[in-house]
Amino acid sequence: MSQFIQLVINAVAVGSIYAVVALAFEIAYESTGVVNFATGQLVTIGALLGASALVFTGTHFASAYLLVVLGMAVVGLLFFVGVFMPLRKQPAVTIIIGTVAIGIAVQNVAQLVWGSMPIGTKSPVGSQTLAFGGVVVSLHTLYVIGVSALLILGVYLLLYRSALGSQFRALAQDPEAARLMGIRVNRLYSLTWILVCALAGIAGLLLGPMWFIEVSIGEGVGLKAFAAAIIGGFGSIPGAILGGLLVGLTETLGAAYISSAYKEAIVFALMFVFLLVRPQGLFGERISDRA
Amino acid sequence: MNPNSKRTFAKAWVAGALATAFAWPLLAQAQDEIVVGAVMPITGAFAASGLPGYNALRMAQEDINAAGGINGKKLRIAFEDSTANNSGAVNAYIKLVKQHNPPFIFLSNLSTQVLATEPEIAKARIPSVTPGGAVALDARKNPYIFRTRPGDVLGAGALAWGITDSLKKSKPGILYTQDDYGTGAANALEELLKKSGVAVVAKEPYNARDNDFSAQLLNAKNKGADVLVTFNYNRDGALLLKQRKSLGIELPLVSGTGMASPGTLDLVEAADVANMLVAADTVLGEDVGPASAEFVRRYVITYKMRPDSFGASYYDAAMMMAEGLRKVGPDAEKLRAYLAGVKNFKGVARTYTTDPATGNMAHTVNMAVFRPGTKELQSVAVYPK
Repeated sequence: MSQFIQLVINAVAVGSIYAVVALAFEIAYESTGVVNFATGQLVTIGALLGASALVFTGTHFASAYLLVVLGMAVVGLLFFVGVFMPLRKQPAVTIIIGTVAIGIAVQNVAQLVWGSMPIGTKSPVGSQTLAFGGVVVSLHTLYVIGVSALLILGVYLLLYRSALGSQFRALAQDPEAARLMGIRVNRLYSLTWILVCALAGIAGLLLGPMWFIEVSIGEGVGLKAFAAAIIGGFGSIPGAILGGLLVGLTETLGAAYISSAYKEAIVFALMFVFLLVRPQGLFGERISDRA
Repeated sequence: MNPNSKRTFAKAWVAGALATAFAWPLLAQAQDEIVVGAVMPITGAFAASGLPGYNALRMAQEDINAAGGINGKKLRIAFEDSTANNSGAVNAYIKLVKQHNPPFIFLSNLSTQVLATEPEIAKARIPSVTPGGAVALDARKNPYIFRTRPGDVLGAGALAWGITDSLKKSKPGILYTQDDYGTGAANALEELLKKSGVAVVAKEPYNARDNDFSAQLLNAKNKGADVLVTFNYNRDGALLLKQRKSLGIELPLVSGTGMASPGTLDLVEAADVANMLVAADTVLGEDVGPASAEFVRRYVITYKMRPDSFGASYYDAAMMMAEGLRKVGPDAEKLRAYLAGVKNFKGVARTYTTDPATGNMAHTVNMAVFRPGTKELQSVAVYPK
């Protein structure tokens, strides 16, 4: 039983990160109509910026985290100006291929800047573990779950309990009507990309101490977060949370109780089943409806 | 000659003179140097494992040229990046052969890349060395491939000895990468242990790019393993060590040389490598001899990191190749015959003697532990005893 509990806690931590990244997918999709396949590489950039910021600030975590969020905001603005604006009037397939290409370009630039060697980073809560009833959990695992929960709560409050959130939702429903109502659409689009990049970047920050940071760290995370968004349903915050947790649990428990060799195959098989049987996911709409 | 012909002649003359002026230094350079090839993962996910060899070969090139080169000619190692995949390795090998037709090629440290390249090596008939130890490589019986590190069958024997004779354990759980290296080595170890009456209680494969090993580690523990055995690369090895600690698993760990590589050790703390026995190939430094200690000293000064057995074996391979080139010249077939006859060549990692039947040049494994509270290796035994 203690193994099961331990696995579930680990799975929830990894699943929380998938949920945060799935949220980044969904916000981009809801507000701008773009399924952003460069999201995984944005996670990579966040993680790498985090590693550099920790060196730059002498491991002062608060300053390093702030620098990463600011850095990701700049990345978001660049994404808005350099990727979204030129592509926004193109067909959905062009935009999707465009984001894939941007993802590859970002990863290659990251490799040129940071190199290919893995980088180890420390957690603000250290490397200590907690032991209770035969279960051992690292403090960072609990930290990841806590920070992810706060982030998701923050995004929920922003989107559903603020004036800015109403504007975001108006934009998601009908950009033209939103413009006629006096909403500054381009400003909102740019804020959307800043939010998307910040979320992906913080997910990268959380991953760093769990795994090692390298230029491919975001690839798998991006794909699994996409699977989480499909399973949970595009366009739904509860869907992103549940999808992320389901993917994390399926991956970890599948490895433990079915086959560690096929753990990723199990996750994507689950996504495939959802696409066939319930394409709208648990809470959302069919991804094909937008594409 | 009409004016047009004169103009054409003048143009041709000028073009010829320019071409000669530009090409002459290159031609002269080509005549003054011998180019050999090297295929290694310099970028991509396995760059950390390729870096020690890349550094050591550059150092070897410098040393060989400082000592007069190859009978007065400079040696140049043309590097090609195999990246992180097999097709990258095959393309890099073919490019080297087409561009330089070298008399010798250093192969990737990744056995899976060497296996993918093996048909091209057989076609090109160019002698080559690899530190890769995969069992599957033995089956190819390619006379143009020499191995400068212990093969995985020998390594598995050393690990089996470590488990049963040194640690006195009887329920090993094996965690291994799901590729030619990991699967081959895990099967070889299981077979050997079976012969000694020891059953493997858990066999947990993983993808080398995985990040979370909690399921594999906890499974092995819960299946009653009294010792963990790993066949890993650098990043995954470091993650296994960190996660073993963070999951509170206190089982001893026995592993191949990947755990003793700087690519792994730079990512972990001294506490992570406690309670470990490593089949470390060799423990570089005074244990091997003064030349080894000097190699370590210079390597650390030059590259600001410690060398590992892979890097040292590349350095030795370069020295053996240079010796061969001096003696038999840049003729691939003659150089192959020379390498097949190497006997008691004293290198910085070990003393090499080629087994002409297998191409294996290394025949012992150093079993080592980390000095308490440090990441420094200390030899405890040499296998076979």
